[in-house]
Amino acid sequence: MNSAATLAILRFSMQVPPTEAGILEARDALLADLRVLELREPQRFAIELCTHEALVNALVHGVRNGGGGHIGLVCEADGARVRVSVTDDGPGFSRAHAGPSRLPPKGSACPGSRGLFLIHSLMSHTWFNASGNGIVMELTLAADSSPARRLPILEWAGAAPPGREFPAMNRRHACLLNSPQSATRHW
Amino acid sequence: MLIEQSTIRNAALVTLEGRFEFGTRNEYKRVIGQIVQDGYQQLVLDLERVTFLDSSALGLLLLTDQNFKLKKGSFSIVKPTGYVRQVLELTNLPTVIPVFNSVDDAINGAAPA
Repeated sequence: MNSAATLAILRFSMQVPPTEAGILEARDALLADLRVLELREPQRFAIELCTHEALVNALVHGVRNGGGGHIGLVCEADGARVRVSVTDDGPGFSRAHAGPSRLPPKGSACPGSRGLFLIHSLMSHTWFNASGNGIVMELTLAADSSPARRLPILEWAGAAPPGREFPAMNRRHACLLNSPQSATRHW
Repeated sequence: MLIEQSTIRNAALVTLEGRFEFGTRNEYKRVIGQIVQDGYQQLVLDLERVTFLDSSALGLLLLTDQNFKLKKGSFSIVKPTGYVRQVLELTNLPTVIPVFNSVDDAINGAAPA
């Protein structure tokens, strides 16, 4: 975001089809809508990869692990940050598996646990709900954001992450608010 | 994702192009599985034209490495670029799988990049 004239607020929410094709299409749909923010390439890449990792986790560890088949993707963005939330109705996972130190030791050939590590490394803030089946990832768009300023993973209590409600959406709704050319798209 | 396979001296060279991720993992597994079955002792994987790589791909790279180490063979990666390279370095993959700047270096077993 480079100037007040292009400041935009974006809200995207979608019930994601609980299939491989569905999660990839949802990821691509979000990235397409985020183009309006004119993110720098490193920011765009970080959001793409982390959204992708969270959606894959929701499908593999949520839906395919006893969940009812519901995956929600929500994104809210303004000039200062992009916040992406992914939830599923699966059994969740242990918080012990979500900490930033979950990367296997250097030189280890353990083939698991890298998705959450990537999310924590690339995002500015990460929250999990108590059940372990909801994640909120936030990227600060300030020019001086850097991995060295990683904050610890936080947990929110209750049904919704801090400052935001998770709407029950039955359709994709991308809404551009407070921009010089407001546009609302539904399908 | 496009996958090309060739043989250089006695090594299998696999070149990937496009997105190496959760949605394309089965194609990779099929090709590598065949290479293992064909008895190759050396596999070189060219990632220069890979544009996106996720944790599923990272896991597959490590499993490939395990497979070749089990049969006392070798597995190496060539020319990852841009954000793909950054993801590999972020997760310390080069400490497990050697990364080379060229296919020749990988096949000749020169010092990793």
